[in-house]
Formats: sequence, C-alpha cells, structure tokens
Amino acid sequence: MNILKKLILWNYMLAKRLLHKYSIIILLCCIPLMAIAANGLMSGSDAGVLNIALCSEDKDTQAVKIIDGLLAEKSIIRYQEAESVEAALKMLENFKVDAVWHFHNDFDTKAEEYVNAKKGKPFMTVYEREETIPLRLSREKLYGAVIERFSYFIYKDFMYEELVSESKVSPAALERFYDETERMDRIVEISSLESKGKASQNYLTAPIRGLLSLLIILCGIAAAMYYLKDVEDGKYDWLPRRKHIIPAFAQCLSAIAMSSVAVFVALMCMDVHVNVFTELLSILLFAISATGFCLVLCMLYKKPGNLGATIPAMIIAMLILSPIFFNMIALKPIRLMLPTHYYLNSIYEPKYYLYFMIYIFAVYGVALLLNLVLRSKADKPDTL
Amino acid sequence: MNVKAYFKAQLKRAVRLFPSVLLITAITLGCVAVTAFIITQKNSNSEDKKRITIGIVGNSDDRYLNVGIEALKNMDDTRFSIEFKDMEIEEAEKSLEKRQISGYIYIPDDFIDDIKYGINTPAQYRTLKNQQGFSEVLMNEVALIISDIVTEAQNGSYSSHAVVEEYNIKGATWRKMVKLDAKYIKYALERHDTYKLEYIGMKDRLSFGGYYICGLFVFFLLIWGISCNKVLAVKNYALSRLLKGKGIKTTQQIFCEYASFFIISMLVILLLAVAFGMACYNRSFGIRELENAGVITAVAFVVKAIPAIAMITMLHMMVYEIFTGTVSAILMQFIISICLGYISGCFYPNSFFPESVQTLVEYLPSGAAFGYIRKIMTDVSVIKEFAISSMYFLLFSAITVSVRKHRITGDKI
Repeated sequence: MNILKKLILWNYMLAKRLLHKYSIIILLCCIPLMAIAANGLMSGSDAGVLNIALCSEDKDTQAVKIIDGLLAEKSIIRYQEAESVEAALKMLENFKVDAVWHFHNDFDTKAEEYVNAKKGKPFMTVYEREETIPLRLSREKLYGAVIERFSYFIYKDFMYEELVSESKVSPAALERFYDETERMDRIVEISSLESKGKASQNYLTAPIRGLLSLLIILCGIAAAMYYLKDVEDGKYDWLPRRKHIIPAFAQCLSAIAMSSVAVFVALMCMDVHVNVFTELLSILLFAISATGFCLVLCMLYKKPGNLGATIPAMIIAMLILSPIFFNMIALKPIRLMLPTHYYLNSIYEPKYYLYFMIYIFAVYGVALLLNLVLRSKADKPDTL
Repeated sequence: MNVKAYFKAQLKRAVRLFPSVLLITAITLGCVAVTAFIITQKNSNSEDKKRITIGIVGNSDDRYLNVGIEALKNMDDTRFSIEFKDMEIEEAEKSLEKRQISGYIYIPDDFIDDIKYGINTPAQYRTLKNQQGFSEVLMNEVALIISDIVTEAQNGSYSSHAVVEEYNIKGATWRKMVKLDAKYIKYALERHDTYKLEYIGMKDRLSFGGYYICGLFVFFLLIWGISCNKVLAVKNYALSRLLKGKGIKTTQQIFCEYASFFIISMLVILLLAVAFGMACYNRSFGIRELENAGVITAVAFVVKAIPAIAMITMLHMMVYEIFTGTVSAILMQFIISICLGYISGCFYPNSFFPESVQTLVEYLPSGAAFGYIRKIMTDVSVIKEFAISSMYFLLFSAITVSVRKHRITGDKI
C-alpha cells in the first residue's frame, strides 16, 4: 500500500512538474486545435459532390438559356454561376469548384460556324485542375446541355448544303419544322434494382481519432525526453539504475494520462465518437500501451537529443502504418508494434481488445527485459 | 582567435557530426518519400481515376447492334472513362450484385428493328439502388444524355423528311438522306472537339504528384532542424562571451555557426537530391514533373531552392537560440513544423481556410517557401516569394543575434 501511495504521489508530482514545461502545455493545447483542424480537413474534402462553375462572357441569350437550364436541373452535380471567367478560375484555383464551363460569347453564331466549317473552332472552354473519371463523365452533361441547339445546326447545315437553298426554304421555316417535329421517346431508361446483399463496407480510416492518438504518443515521447534529460542531469543518481524504470514509467504515464483525458473530451465533443464505454475502454488501454511504448523508448535511448531526432521518422511511420489516412496491408510486423494500430482497430472490432491486452503484456515485458539487460548495475543502495 | 578560425572550428564540429545527421535524415526522408509515394499511388488508384465497368446484354447476332457497340468500345470518348463488357443476363445480374460492375445495359431483342420502323423501344440501364461511388450515380444521368443525343439526331432526320415532303424537294435520295445520319454520328463521336480543355493543375499548374513533391520537400525542410539538434542545440555562452571579449562580435559568431550549419545542410540535401535524381532516371512514377528528370535536374532544383533553404535553416537556428533546452527546442521545432506545414497546405491544399487566411499564409515563412518551391518547379516568376524569403532570412538573423546578445550580456547562461 505504501508503494502504491508513493507511486501516486510520484505521478502527481511529476505531472505538476511537467505542467511547468511550456512545451507540454503547448502540446496539450494542440489537442483541441488538432481536433478542429482535422475536422476542417475532413469536411473540406467533400468527396461525394462535383461542383461546376458556369460562365458566359457577354450574357449571350442562348448561353444564358443553357446556363439557366443547368442551374434549374436536378442533378448530382452542383452548378453555380460565376460573374466572369476570371472569377470562375479563382474559384477553381481555391478548390471551391472542380471545373469551369465557359460558354464563349456569340455562342449561337460560333456553334453554327463550327458546324458550317465542318469542325471549326471550339465554342466552349472547360477548365479543370486535373483529369478524373467523374469530370470526364460530367463533360457528357455539357454536351447534353447544348445538344438540342447543336443538333439543329447540323440539320440546318445539311439541308442548305444538300437539299435546298435559303431562297426556297427560309431559316425560320427550317427551324419551325425542327421545333414542331414530335420528339421520339427516350431510347434509354433507368431501372434501379433492389440489392439482395449488404453493400460491402470500405474499411473506415479514422483521420481525426488517428491524429489525436499521435498527439498522445507525442506527449509520451516528450515526457520520455524529459526523463532522459533528468537522467543526464543526474536527478536520479540516488536511485539504482535498474529502478530508473519507475520514474520513467511515472513520467510517461503522467503526460499520457493528461493528454488522453484531453483527447477523450475532444472526441466526445465531436461527431466521430462511438458509445462512451467503447471510447473509454479503448483510450484507457491505449494510454497504458502508449506508456509501455514510451517506456521501451526510454530504455533504448540514452540521450534526449537522439530520441528527439527520431521523432519525425516515428510519427510519419505511425501515420503511414496506422489506419489514419491509409489502410496499409504491407509491413504487418511493424504495424503490430504500434499502439495506434490496436487503438484505432479496437473502436470498430471488439476482438482487438484481446490483441490489445496481449500487446500491453508484450510491450511491458520488453521494457522490463531491456531494463534488466541494459540498466542492471547495482551501484546504489535501494532507497525507494 | 579570429573569425576565420572560429568558422573553421564550427565547420569541423559540424563535419564531425555529419554522418549521424545524414543517417537520421536518410531515415526521416525515407519515411517522407514513402508517404509521398503512397499518396500519389492512392491518388492514381483512387475511385476518381479508375474506369467504371458497364455490362452490355443484348442480341449478339444483330449486325447493326454489334457495329454500334464496337464503335462505343473503340471509337467513342467514353472508352477512357467506361469499360463496356459483353455479358449474358445472368452473369450481368451476378456481377451487379457483387458490385463488379456499376450497371448493365439491357438491349431488347427488337431494339434495332423497332428503330427502323420509327419506334423507340428503350434499352434499360440497370443499376442498384444506393450505389456507392459518385461516378456510378453520375452514369445514370449520362445514360439519359446518350438517349438525348440519339433522339435529337432522330428529330433532325425526321424534320428533314418533313421538309422534303412539304416542299416536294427532288433529289432527296436515300443516299443523300443517310448523309445526315452519318453527320450526326460523326459529330457525336467528335463531341469533345466542341470544347477546349485546359488543365490548371493543383496550384501554380502543378499536377497532383508535383504538388505533393513540393509540399513534402518543404515539410522535410521544416523538420530538418530536428535531425540537426546535435549541431544546433549545444550552446556554450561562456565561450560566446569569451569570443566577444577577443573581438569576435555576436553577429560574426552567429554568421560562422550559421554558415557551417548551412554548408552541412546543403551537402546533405544535395546528396539526397543526387540519390533522388538517380531513382527518377528513366522513371517518372506517373508524375508529369518528373518526366525526363535525372541527377542534373534534381541538383539544379536544389540550387534554385537555396533562398528557401537559407530562410528555413535560419528559422531553425533562431528556434534553437530562443529555446535553450534540447527537449524544448526539439518539441517546439516539431510543433512549429506541423502547424506551419498544415496551414501552408503541405499535407493538403488549404482551400477550406477562408480566403483571407489563404492570402495571409502566402506571407508566412512556410507559405513563402512553399510558393517559391512550387514556382521554381513550373519555371514561373518567383520575385514576390524571393523577396518575402529574403526578408524573413534577415528578420530571423536579427532575432537570433539579439537573443544571443541578450544571453551573453545577461547573468543567466
């Protein structure tokens, strides 16, 4: 009981001490900022919608009619009208739209000249950032918007070229015949069928939760670095080297505990959380496993600078190998060494709790083994 | 001791630490390179880049139908976005259920014959409700556009017959009338020529891959300072005070330390550029900007990027000067790198920030560096970014010198 009381006291004092370090305070403040930033990142990438800006230079009647037709249309594509080509291109550069459809001035005249010249200059311009299949398909919609008028010009060109003269049949008469001819029924109809099976679910990557879990690890690594600095400064010289694992554990745990509480609160305030019990259990196990992971780092490194130098590589490796932005299948042995892998999977698959427990035992086992092998030098009396 | 001697001493110290710095940098850059590779691979294999597959179920004996389907598969523009597969009905239904195809077109047996007699018996485009994928849902609308193209062509054809009949036009032979149908088919197959297509790229006309190469290069520069903590973190203010007493001013001390750090940084970055150039030789990884790239291109790029590299390395020096503890300096470096990298759009285009923020970011050190790097990649004028980078270089130098002066003149070391 005495030992437990001492450990709690150590934890409390180390937590207080850590809170005097402004870098730890800044890291803790980054947690809500990261949550907001990651939320913004995810909502900014509106993957299920195509936005297209429509513009016409001189408000040509026919072009305006086409634009109005598209704006009024019920479509999966979102159309919006831009004041000018420059304004539309600005929207495209700023990712406000995915493409710009520009109808050139004197649209009708140019479309007719295109047909008369047997393929003249284009009478529309499409601006895109890069080629994608949805944008390619959306250009069929562009042609569909002009086909009625374009088709008339093809017919008119044919009639005057092959069959009649303007003096015999006026353009107005030709147009009247075209408009008054009864349109045929559709040649394609859509039929939506009920699915017998469930839609296969793509594995969910968890960007917000993943980024926050990396922040917890970073807090733990920061605490590990402060511990190594303390060892360098001789603050634990009164303790036998094989017992240095105790302040290392307490220091890492205090930083990770504080950051885990902050992350838990941040997740509860956002839409990404599942039920409270799952979140609580997962983050508790993550805090314990992350402490063990940082403890292993404390045992492996002697200088805080060396540990610090590997922070970018470690964080980037965790970013790639954990299901945060990518769902990697390769490098399984390395993925299994990371606490983020178990944490992010355990949210949606309960069987990972079992793997989590095994990982926790393994990581603490490794830390104790490393402590035994690397730090066993009984040069101080036991004063704990 | 004079300035030259102090500079030599600093350079020797940096060179001694060079191998460990290079090793850590190589590991970090390896992780950054893998990230860049995964991002570009993910983009090129993404749903947006893969063709959707549509089955065709119809009477394979009908000659006209076969000609039409072959034209669709091999001549029409849709072949770049849609893969058409001939199927039997049962196979099409199973494939649709398993989501191996986005939908299938069911062409009734009397489809062509009815058209000959002026009756449109519609083909059915069958899909599943609650389709996944934007392209699959858009296909429903595209299918109706294809129908409109055909019905407008029919309208033109019937209108021409109506005019011939009304005005009793002689010479309207079958051969002539068929020319109109041929015109419609020709213009439908060449419909992409009615518009001009221009790509503006992700930003500054860069492709997706090119954008991320620049972004991750800037991010690498931002976290470079962490790898160099052994070179920059060790501060001996007693020595600085002594050197000042011997006539080496604070500014000269900073210059010597910075020059040695900059030389080592350039050496490492040039070595990595050579390695990158060798990796890119005859291989573009699907990135337009890397086509025909080699060692000389990579080295030339690094040389052109010197103003941005100089500014960011001075930033690192300033951070290590302000935050004296190794741990605090490393953590602050990391936090500053992540924040600046994020807000500057190194990881993802920062388009969802308000425009005012996006404009402000262009004037931040990381934003200016990122803009500079992007523009040298596309050979666009970099006067504005160069000016901002130079200004920040001078600002960071001034701050570093004044902090050092404060430390060596104050009582605390």
